[in-house]
Amino acid sequence: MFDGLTIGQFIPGDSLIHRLDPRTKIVTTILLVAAVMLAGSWPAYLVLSILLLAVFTLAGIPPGMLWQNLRPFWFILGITFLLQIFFTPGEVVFTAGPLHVTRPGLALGGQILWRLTVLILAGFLLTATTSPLKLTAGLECLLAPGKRFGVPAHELAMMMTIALRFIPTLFSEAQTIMKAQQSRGADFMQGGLWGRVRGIVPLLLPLFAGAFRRAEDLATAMESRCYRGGAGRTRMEELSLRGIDFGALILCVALFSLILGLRWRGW
Amino acid sequence: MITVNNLTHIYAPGTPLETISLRNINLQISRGEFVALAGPTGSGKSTLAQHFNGLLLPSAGCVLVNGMDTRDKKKRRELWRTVGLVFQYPEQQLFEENVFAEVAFGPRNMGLDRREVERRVRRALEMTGLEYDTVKSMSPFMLSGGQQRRVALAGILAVEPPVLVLDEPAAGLDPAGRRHLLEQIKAWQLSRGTTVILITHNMEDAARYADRMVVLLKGEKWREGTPRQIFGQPEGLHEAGLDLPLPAGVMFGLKEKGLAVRCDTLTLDEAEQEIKTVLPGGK
Ligand SMILES: Nc1ncnc2c1ncn2[C@@H]1O[C@H](COP(=O)(O)OP(=O)(O)OP(=O)(O)O)[C@@H](O)[C@H]1O
Ligand SMILES: [Mg+2]
Repeated sequence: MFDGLTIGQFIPGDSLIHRLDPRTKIVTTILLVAAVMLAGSWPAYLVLSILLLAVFTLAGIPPGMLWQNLRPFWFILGITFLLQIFFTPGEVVFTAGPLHVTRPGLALGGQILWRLTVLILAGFLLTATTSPLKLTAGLECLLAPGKRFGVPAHELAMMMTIALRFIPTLFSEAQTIMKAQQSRGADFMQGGLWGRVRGIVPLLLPLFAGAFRRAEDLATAMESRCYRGGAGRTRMEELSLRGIDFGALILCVALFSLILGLRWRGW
Repeated sequence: MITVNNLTHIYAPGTPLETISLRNINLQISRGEFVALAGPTGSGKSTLAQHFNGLLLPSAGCVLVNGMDTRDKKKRRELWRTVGLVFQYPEQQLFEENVFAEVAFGPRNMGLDRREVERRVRRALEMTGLEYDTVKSMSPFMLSGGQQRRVALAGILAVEPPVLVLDEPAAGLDPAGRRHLLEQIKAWQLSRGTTVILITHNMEDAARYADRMVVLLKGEKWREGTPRQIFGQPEGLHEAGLDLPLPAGVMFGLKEKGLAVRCDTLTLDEAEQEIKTVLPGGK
């Protein structure tokens, strides 16, 4: 079902994108997301899509993996698209039974489909090219100013590292459990709705039991190494912004301004 | 019974994480045989094990079980009844509210009637050394790790498959528990003609119980033969990450010291006999 690859997995590499400072990548990703939300015209879609694909190419991630990462979302994507094309009022393009596909519906559906796809891929790009350690270091650093107002920057970042660290573990564990139950004749795909819901118990229960056990072990392991939160902790690798970071930031700000400008003009 | 033809398996093909975990494996396992599958960590043992009941499918080559190709989707159900696979750390897959239901999961999925299910659960539990009447209504999560392992194993045994594949079933058990478990599996093999494939890191176990050994190294079949043949030529075994069982190891040590002894002794008794032959006076 999810052989080999999992969502949010880091793909080690030494590309330009891998070497960018995590803070740069987080900020540019946020800018990209904002730009995607603002974009409302073909030129804007085109520019952003090309940019994203170019960055993927630069990062050396094969196109097949984009598809693999989108696959788990196809259902949500499909449903939102269908809802839009059928339930937006306007000029009818064609009719399927009681349902009408409208021109504004198609446009809106396409737009939402594109937005969601780009958002998913942008998230994938960030986690694929940034090791979890760096990602949280960057996040903690960006959140640090909030500490004065009571934002637990370190704790948030640590929670995220742990979550990211264990997503692949959970996936592979789910896979193993599923296989084990299948070899006892469990069937995850058959039966009506009720059958399927019941069929999932042999998968979910051991998975949760395992997750709790793991969480407890981890807490013990951290405490026995005297972990007590962020105060006074130092890092193995200090973050530093370099030329390419400023280059990337300037490029993204420029692009964001362009999209904003287009929007301003009603595009 | 099982034929593996030119089997190659690749995890995550076409991505930077691609791993070739098995390369061109050829293997024949006949009915009723006890085969030990050995090899260092990461050599592909578990990957191979999952090919026997179609949980993993070959990237190239094929696996035939009783003439059924594991790639054949229509044979899925028959395949899992034929090949029972006990995973590494099977206790992590427990989920039912009591031990009885846990062990009965497989037989119930086979659609057996209540009496037969109960008979099989009782038998499987007692085989693994658990008291049926004591444990049947306990929650599997209240048991110790070793007991959980037995329950999980019983869950497969209760299906009574003609082929039993065990991925390090004794890892983490105490020596007595380990011995008991393997003795029971051996007895099961002998009494019912079950084909057993045992994955193990423990060379003593392999030497003691297996009719034949297959050693994997870096995803390839490195050596194959009876334990006597494998341990009789210990050259290279160490490089392959395997130890000699104690009796063979001692003899090999003596041979290196210049004594003319055979090295393919598998049990302490055999080793004792062999040492007597070279001792002055023969005792
Ligand atoms: N789900 C997976 N995805 C990607 N690679 C995998 C996966 N499972 C195993 N591998 C890789 O395949 C190779 C063989 O692994 P396998 O688990 O078969 O080894 P093993 O011989 O059972 O080792 P061990 O003695 O530690 O259980 C290893 O290099 C491993 O990294
Ligand atoms: Mg293994």
